[in-house]
Amino acid sequence: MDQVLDCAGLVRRFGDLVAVDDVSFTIAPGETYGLLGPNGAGKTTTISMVAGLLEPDAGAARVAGIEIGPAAVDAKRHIGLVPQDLAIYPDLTGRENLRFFARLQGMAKDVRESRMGEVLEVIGLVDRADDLAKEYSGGMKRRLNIGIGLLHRPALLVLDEPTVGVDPQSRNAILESVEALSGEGMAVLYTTHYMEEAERLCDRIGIIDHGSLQAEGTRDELVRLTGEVDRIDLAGGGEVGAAAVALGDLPGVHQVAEDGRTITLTVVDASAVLAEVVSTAAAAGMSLADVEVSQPDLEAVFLHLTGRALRD
Amino acid sequence: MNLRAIVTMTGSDLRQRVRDRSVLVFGLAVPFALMVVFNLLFSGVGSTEDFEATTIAMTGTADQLGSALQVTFESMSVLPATVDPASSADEARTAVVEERADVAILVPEDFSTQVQGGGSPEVEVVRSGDGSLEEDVVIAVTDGFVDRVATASRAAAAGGSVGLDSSAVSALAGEVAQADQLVTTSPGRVADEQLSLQGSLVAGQTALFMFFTVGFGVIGYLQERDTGTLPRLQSMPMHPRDIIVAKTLVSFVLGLVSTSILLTAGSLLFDVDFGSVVPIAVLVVATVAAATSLVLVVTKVARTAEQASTINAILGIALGVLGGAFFPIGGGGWLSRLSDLTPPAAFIRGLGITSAGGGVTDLAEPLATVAGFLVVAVVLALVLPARQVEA
Amino acid sequence: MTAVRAIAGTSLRRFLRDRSNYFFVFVFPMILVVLIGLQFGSESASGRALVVGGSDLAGRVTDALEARDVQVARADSVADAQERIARGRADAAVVVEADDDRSFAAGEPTDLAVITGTSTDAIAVQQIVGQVVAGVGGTRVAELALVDAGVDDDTAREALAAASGTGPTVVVSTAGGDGLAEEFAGLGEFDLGAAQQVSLFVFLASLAGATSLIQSRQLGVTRRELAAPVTTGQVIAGEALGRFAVALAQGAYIVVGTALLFGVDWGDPVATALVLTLFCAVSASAAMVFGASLDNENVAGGVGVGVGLVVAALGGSMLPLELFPDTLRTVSGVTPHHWAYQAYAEISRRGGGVADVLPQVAVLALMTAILLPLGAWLLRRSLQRAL
Repeated sequence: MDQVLDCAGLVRRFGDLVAVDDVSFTIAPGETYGLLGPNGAGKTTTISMVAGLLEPDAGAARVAGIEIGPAAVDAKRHIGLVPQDLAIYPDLTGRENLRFFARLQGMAKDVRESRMGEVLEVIGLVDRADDLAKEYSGGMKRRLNIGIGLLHRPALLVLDEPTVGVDPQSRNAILESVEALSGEGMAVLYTTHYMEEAERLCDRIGIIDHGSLQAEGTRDELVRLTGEVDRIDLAGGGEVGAAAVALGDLPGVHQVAEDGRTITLTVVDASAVLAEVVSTAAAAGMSLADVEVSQPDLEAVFLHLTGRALRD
Repeated sequence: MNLRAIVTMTGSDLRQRVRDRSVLVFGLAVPFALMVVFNLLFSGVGSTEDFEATTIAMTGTADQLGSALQVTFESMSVLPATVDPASSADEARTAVVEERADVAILVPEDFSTQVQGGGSPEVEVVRSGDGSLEEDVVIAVTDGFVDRVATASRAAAAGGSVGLDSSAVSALAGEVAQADQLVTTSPGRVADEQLSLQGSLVAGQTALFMFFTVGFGVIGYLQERDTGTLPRLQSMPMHPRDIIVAKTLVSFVLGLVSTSILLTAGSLLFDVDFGSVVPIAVLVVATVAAATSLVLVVTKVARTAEQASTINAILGIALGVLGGAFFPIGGGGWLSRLSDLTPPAAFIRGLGITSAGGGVTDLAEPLATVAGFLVVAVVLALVLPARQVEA
Repeated sequence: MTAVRAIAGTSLRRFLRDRSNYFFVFVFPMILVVLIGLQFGSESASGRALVVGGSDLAGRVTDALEARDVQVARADSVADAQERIARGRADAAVVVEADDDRSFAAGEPTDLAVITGTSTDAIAVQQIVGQVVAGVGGTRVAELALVDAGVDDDTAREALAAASGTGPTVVVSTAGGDGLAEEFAGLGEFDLGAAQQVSLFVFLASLAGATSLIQSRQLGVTRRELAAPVTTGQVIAGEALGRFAVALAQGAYIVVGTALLFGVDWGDPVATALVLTLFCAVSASAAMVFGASLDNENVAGGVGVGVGLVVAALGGSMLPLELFPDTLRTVSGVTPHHWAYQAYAEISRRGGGVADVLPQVAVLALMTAILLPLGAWLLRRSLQRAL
């Protein structure tokens, strides 16, 4: 068992909806794996199966070699879950919150108390440890939320969109601590719909959409999938739809996505076609406000794989 | 079953419930306040405080029967009364209106003559309308007197109709009028398990609020789902079932503690003796278990904690009213049979039995009722599909 | 005014979004009105008695009690009667043993045991039983006197029964024509319950709904409202207006519903509407004071229901005010329920109109005038506390 997590053919349905469809991936010790996809793509459902909250309808996830599920107590010991919503008790103090979950993890008393001290240090709440959690600022609550997941030094830390709704400063602090934990050898499963975070943190990335894994690999491997094409974003008004159709017929344009105000093109070489793109769009009746050319990134990969932009 | 985890979760929940004071308010303060208010209200009803001296304005005191009634009033043992003769009905009425007299008795001037002639004259009692007990006593005495006169005149009429001669008839009437009261009443023995007014209040309010108090435990499960802590709990190294077991335990402990405190404090404050501890404890444990099982069903049906609280409050009040927590459901119809099946009714009845000195075996009937309720609720809780929450 | 209306509208919309509110506000009170009506209405004010024994004397007592409008049922044994009384199923029981029947037939003094319960009707029923039993005894005395005069027993009985209309009677009237005895006379099965339930539920639901004001503060909506050019007075007025609308809808629903479904006679519609409107205004204002003085939503919900019940009990919504001891009746004047109760009584029992309930309406208006500014002041203070 050299993999910390091994997911094989995970399937989960809710009624007629197939939320997760045949998802397989692995995470090695010390590796940070990102699940990248828009809201509703199946990220949280996948994580719920990995963390033992949901029983998969088919397939299996193994943590440290043990198959995990709601009743798989031994497998759950290796997991530290940080849910997307704040999972702390407002009527308990920070220390009481930590102690409560440490006891549920079955940590012996002496280990527990010293480890709580360490975690309080890491999340910077030593001074406020004995205040009620409901009196904390938003950022402090977030840090406590993450700290609880670290208590028992899990083999796999599962972070579900930990930066949603967080101010830039706290967000940076969270990203730094994830990098530090990874440096200490902890395996991390990280879901996000922010491509920058995935690019910065993750050793490998799985792109998920409509419940299935579209592609996976390192950032560079994924970018290579796009055929290393460039991207042109056109923004403006007027006949955007007509312009999109006209642009689709241009030679050298791979793909066109349009959302009413912007058109995103993937092209072989932006500098070669830019002039023609602009004149074609204008000729079709689109009034251009902004034109942006970018080198390939995960956003482009997502567009390439799914035909739509990440932030739909 | 991870006992250690269950104990940890139960303890943490209890600490939080005490900290947000909701249980203290709903489980203890409110029912206790209601007991006190109801006691003030009900114990004032029909209280036998000392009667105040009463003035009676009366007409017809010159009449033979009228003066006999006057004597009867003046010699009442329970109520010191003065009779003010009035010359006319209007004068007597005015005396009452102007509060110179508490009550007026209007006896026709020719009352005796009318009675002897076989007529049906009326004696009118004019009350002041303040609903005082003194008035009731005067009315009752008048009723008794007139009743006796009426019986005598009926005897005379009957005697005439069967052909007795007039001297025999008047002897008959005299005999009936003079006779001692043939049938009297005296207080009968009440059932040992009859709770005093205060006892029923304490038992009723305790039974009613038990349902609210136990709600604070199990509904916490839904609350955790709403606030987002549930996924984290589910990811802990324990069986998910342990979470609901812990919540049930919280309900159970809260119910036991608040019920015990209410019964103890209530019986001390209102001087009620519910009997020996062991059978009471058995009854309390069984009823709290039944109440808890109902909350389990509610939790299965409700989508959010708020919804569960509302449904729980509705069921609690409905069962309480039906079970006689406020007033007993009377009659022998379907309503009272339905009432018998509710845990509050069984609880109140059970406390009556223990207060009469009954032991655990005497509690068989209420315990069976509670157990039946428990079984039905648990089966429902197991059979009903959980509301699926998409992850 | 726009701000007030906007806040009121939002408060109302939030209320309407939560379906469980409908049950609590609309379905549940109706169920209780029916239940209380069944309980107190059909079994008239004269109470419920049991008679143990099937003899001649028992039969005579039963007939005489029924003639006095007491609901009589037979009990199989003394133990049965004791149990039914202990459980509040009857107010009193007359026990007629075989010996009693023999001595009664022979004209010897007979003493009947009367078992009484602890219900509020028990004392009245006990009194009626005493009178009834004396009357039954008198009749037997007369029968035996006729027998002594040479008439046979059956003929004596028939002759006395035939003479039952003879002899003086007692009538009771009230000076000024308006006393307790006539208070409940004109009331139908559900009338009493309905008038009391309207106040109880409108007030209770208003207090319980005050949690929305706490939520608004917790969610920071109130702060945002105050950041706009809106005063705390306007916020309170807006929230109170929303509450008031709910209360009025609920009250009107109970009034109209009980009138249509159960034929409750509410009397003069204009006067009733006026009293209801003022009562709803007090309830909404009280809810604001309540919502502004508590910070914890969960606690507030519980305290709201609790306070609602206690105040209702004190204000005559659980036991008619007329049956209160004097001191307590005076104390209950601090509750709006007390004044609403009196006003409804004036309208439905005595056919009163707007002019007759003006004093009660004035008190309710005064309560609103005190509570609403108090609510605004408390809200201002509460915003200086951290939630």
